[in-house]
Amino acid sequence: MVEERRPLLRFDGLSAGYGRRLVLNRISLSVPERSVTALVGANGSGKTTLLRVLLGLIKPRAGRIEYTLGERPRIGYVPQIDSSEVRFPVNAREVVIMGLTPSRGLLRRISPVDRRSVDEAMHIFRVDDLADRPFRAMSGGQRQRVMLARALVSRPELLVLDEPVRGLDLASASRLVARIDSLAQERGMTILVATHSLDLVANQADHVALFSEGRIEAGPAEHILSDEVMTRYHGMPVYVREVEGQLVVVPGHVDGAPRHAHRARRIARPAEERAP
Amino acid sequence: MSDWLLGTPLAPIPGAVAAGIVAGTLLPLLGMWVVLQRVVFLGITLAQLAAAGVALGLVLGLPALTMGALLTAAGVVGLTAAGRGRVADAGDSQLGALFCVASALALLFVSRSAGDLDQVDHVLHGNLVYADMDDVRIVGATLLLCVLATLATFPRILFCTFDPDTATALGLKAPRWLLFLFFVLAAALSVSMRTTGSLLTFAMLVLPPLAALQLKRGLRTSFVLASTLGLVGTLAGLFVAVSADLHVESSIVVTLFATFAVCSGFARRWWIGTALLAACVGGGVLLAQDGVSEPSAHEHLHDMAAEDASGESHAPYHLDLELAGRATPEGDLAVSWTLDVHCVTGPDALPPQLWLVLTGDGGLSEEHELLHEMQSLPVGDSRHTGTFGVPGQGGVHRIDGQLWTGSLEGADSLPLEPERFAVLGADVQR
Repeated sequence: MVEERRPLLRFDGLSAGYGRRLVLNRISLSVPERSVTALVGANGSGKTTLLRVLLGLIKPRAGRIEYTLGERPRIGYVPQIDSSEVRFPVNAREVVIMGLTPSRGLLRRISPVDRRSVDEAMHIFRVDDLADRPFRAMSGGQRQRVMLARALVSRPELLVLDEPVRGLDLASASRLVARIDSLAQERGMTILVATHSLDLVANQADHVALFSEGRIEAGPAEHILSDEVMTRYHGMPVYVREVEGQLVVVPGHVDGAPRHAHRARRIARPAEERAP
Repeated sequence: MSDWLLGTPLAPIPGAVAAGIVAGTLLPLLGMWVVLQRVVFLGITLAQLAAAGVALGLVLGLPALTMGALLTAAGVVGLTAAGRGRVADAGDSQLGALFCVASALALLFVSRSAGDLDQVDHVLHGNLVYADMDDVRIVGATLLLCVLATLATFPRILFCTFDPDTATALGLKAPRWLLFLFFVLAAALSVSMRTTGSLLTFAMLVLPPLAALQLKRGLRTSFVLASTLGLVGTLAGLFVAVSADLHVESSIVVTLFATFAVCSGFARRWWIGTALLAACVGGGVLLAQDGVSEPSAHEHLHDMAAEDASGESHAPYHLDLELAGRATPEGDLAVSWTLDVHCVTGPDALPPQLWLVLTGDGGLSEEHELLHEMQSLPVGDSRHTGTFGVPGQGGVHRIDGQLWTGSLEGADSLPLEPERFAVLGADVQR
């Protein structure tokens, strides 16, 4: 059970879109402080649009964002990995240093304190040994960690992640999620994450907002991640089960689809029981 | 400036060399931002807008550079609106439409101006050869200011071009910084346009950065490389053009492209780069030798003078003077001259002073001192160059002249014997 926390910010009756297309239609959502809030939905469902409104990249057509502390919190942002620019001949350290740019004076050089912050952020995401490597020569996972270090170096109160594990293999994604989770707990940051990955949501999020056709259904993770809500949201049987202490979201049988019971049984058996 | 050029083929055009060095070194530093943002088509569209603005200034009799900057800035604002707040996000179709109309307007405007075809050539293709030190100062000061502006804001521009969304999320106003960058570009392009023309300006803006990025070095090294390659390509182009008697601006564009090709070769295999470099250098040398083997106008003049002098086998000296004239936007006449002194028997035979009576249509007659203390010159050949202005004579179409010696106002002044010198007059460029 997640303790009740006061919201860091609240979207109140927010509508937004592009051109004539309305993507978000009068949605309201609270983001509790010092928690992980996940925005889950299919492509085009509006989760990235909500983030873009929050980041000031597009203006809402109606509604507003209320900040509990009265002013916008310091934000760290990690965009989708495939949106990163790889033509620039910058190395990993130069990318991380960019995170300090808004807080630096126009003509001020990087101070020793700034350098220590950069080193620390790179160390946390284990990219300190890649500091001089060209950004364009890095793998997707390495780039994502460099972007996270850049977000962290600005000492954010709110960390916004857009599809942080998209395109990553299972191992890289698991390690990255664990790192973000521990960071949130250590530093007491509020994390807002947009994702397709229900498994990521199931095990890390305190609050979940399901996006569908411009509307949302939001609440504590234990409420949203139930068979009933998941089945209603997906329009097909979906089960939430616990395996070795981890929640997994499993699709049920779809009418008309062939059963692969023999394959499922083979996979479910422990490895030592399987024939070589 | 011109001292170290003496004895090189570039000696007659010190202004062009200086303007080429300035533009070839500084424009690539601004062009890096164009290439890195992949908005090369935007770059050529802005260059064309600057050309149209300069042409409009010529038609209306307004300051051409200011008009160029204003029209380019207007284009930046329009494209920012089309790109929903980001000039770099303007679509290809909008850029294409603007490029077409800017190119057409440049031609229409210059066709309505008094200078007609000369001005078309000047605005669209540049007139680097006739650049004087005033041009160099204006272009140099403006480009230097533009580069300093981008250096002072380097971290912000870098972040806003690399990842504008994150920069905005972290509190930087990325669209404003990008707008600032493109206004700086607009100023740089419109000022360069008058000296280097739209083709060479665009080539200097994008080819050296493209070449530098082929070598896949770090950020700062890439900027330095772009500037260095711009300088090398420009000087090589000038050298080949003057040696082979080719169109100067087009030759520089080709040598800048050659630097790009060589860098691309080195980026793939060292031997491909070496082969391309050898091919480019060899081709340049062959072209230059070919040009030298064919008598140019200047050499023809020299040969004629030698023939004249051959009748007097003991001719103590011979002087060849070549003139070039350009009408400035302010309505003045800028004259550049190159004097070749062939001193045979000894400097004592030379006249003590030398001055030019410049003549032209419309009753132009203007005296200007070219050299004094000529008797300190060495035996053999020496070359001397210089420029001067004649206020209010921008309407002259052709200039010529005669050489005199003695003091300017003194009673001892007299014309040199006609067989001692030859003057090559010129049409005044606009």
